[in-house]
Amino acid sequence: MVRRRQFLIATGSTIGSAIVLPQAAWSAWRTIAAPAAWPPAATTLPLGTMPDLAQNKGKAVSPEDPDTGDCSSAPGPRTLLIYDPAFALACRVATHARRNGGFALALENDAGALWYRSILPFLEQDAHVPRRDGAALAQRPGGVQGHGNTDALEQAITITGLTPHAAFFVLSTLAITAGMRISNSRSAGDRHLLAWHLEFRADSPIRPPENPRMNSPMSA
Amino acid sequence: MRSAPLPPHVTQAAFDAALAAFRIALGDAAVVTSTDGLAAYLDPFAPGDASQYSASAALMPSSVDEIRAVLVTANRYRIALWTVSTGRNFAYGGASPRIAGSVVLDLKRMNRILEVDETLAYALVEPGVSYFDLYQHLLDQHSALWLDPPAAGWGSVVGNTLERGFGTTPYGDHAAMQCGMEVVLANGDVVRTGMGAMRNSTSWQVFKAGFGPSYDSMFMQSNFGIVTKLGIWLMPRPAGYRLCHFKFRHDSDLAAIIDTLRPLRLDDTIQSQAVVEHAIRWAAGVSTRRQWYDGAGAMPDTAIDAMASALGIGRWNLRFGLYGPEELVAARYRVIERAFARIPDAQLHAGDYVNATTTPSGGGDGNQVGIPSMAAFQLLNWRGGSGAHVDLSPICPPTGRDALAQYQLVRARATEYGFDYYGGFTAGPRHMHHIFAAIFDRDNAAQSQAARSLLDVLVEQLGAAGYGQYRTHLAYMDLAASQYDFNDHALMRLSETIKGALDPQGILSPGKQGIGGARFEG
Repeated sequence: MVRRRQFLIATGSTIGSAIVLPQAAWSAWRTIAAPAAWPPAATTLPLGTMPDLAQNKGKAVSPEDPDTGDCSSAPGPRTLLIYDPAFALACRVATHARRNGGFALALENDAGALWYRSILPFLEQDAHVPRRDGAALAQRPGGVQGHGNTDALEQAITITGLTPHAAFFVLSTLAITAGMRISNSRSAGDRHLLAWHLEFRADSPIRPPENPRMNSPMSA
Repeated sequence: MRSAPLPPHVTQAAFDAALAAFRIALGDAAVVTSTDGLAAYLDPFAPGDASQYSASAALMPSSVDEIRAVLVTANRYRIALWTVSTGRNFAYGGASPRIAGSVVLDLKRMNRILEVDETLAYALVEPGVSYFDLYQHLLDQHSALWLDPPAAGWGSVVGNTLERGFGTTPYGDHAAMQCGMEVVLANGDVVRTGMGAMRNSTSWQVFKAGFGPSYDSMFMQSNFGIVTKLGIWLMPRPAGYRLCHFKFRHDSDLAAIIDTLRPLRLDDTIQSQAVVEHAIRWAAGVSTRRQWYDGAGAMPDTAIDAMASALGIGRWNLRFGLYGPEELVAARYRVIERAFARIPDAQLHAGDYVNATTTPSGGGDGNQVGIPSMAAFQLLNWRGGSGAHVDLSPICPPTGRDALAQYQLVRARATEYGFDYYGGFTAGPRHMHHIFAAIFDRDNAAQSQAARSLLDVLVEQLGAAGYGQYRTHLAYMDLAASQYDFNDHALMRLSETIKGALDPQGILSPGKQGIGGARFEG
């Protein structure tokens, strides 16, 4: 069976080929992931609690590892970048992100698996990390109760992406269930590549739904 | 200013009073009325205007008692409730109600895995449990059981089973693997089916029938009650497996494939649901259309052949798994190989026999060994833009003649409307369901409208030829139901009679599968 990634490599679509940064696409992405929208860079992520991300940090994402130039528009450390390595632009942005201390996760064939295996556990762990005001973001169980703490909201992680539409659809649908909203999405200069940004809603508990727990069937 | 519609035949004052009662019962945060909040209940793949199926509000109960409290108010004000488990039945309507203005009863907060029995191989779950959730739980428990995921692993186990979804392992007929359920009726009564009707039952999830009439299937694809717990049989992990991919070069091979496959499914030589996929369906999982053809209209045969050749796939591709001890798998494979080798130019490929704890590398393959994925959603990238799809699901007798007739009809109409044939057949022992997806860019109004019209025509023409749908998008429920017309629609009269007896106010999911919607429309 031919996998998507293998196929793209085999046909020389983007991976490993000479990379020319499409300026229009880069501009589109910069607009969405504008640094002004990011939380303070001084806020750090709990490195010890997210091995998958930590392992990826700083890794070259493209065999070319192109010169990334001005890094001012790369995602900040409170932004998780999801990128499709089949697109040269996405690889370059991921490189920017990692060089700026950010975290980038490569999309493979299955955005759903990426969500459940990596993103959701990360959001759950991050929601329990104490913030500047000493409180954890996750205040209440249940997944529907808002808290109205705007300071906590500013510290909440955001997710930005450079992916095709299918991955955006899957990830944004799952993120909405977890209390996030789509703050922006637009074409990244390619018919098949979207730049998008997700953030927690003001009325969200800033906490993804708990994983199901075992309970007695008679207790309901 | 509210932009959402009111529930049908309910005044603003009555609706406000009902919402106030819902908030008392569930808490403010579990009653959704904001435009932003309700946007999540719009069908993202609606062929045409999604607001045609918009909700007036959404409720998120977390328990059976909260559902009962909702029912008291809904009955009092005659508010139509549209029940969803997680609302991700995309291509068939998602979380949207059939009747605009219905209040969505969203059960995703009822997400407990109540029991997994390793000895008797079953699980008892609530509606908010997804296949990913159950899979993760089985992993956490080091379980020796497999679940059978449908194509979209984020779906609800309860929801998919009630909609009669299918997967690709030997447990792929989900409705057939269901055993015992708990149902809240419109009057608030809580019923447990089968052996669960005994207060101290020891066998709720092991024997379906119980004593006397059996009602479980009455609550599938229906609006007779709200299912709050459901038992599902899980597959004991086999010793090992072998995944097979047979490739057939010619478009005309379809009939021979089906006629060869049928006896092997009937006698259980092939144990799993077997999938016969067209080249375009396969290609849409690994590539985009413009890499092969970027012209207007449906992709021509020459381009399909070139694409299939470049990808190393067939015009038709048969996928199935063999499970069990190595000796048995090898024996089964020899019989199967001998049968399909008779089809000219067939290429018969099979992976090595591996231990069942081995994880296949691809999402689609993972489904065949109990691992949920979302890889099927790659199809959204096929045409570019904001990809969406609406699906056609006729039942097909497992004969080459019928399969060819359906394929030719569907492909011809799809071509007329400018759509590629993205389709395939999933073969059980005694039937096949033929799935065709009309893929469109939802930001392109012309494409969206064409998809809607195409499906209308296809449901119509397939029905005229004696092929009924087994599930449809909201837009075609009435049409599909109207085709089940023996004895002047006696089946619908029966359904409406049951509906009237169990839900005299008609508040539960009006319009579901064409039942009970008339009083709320017009």
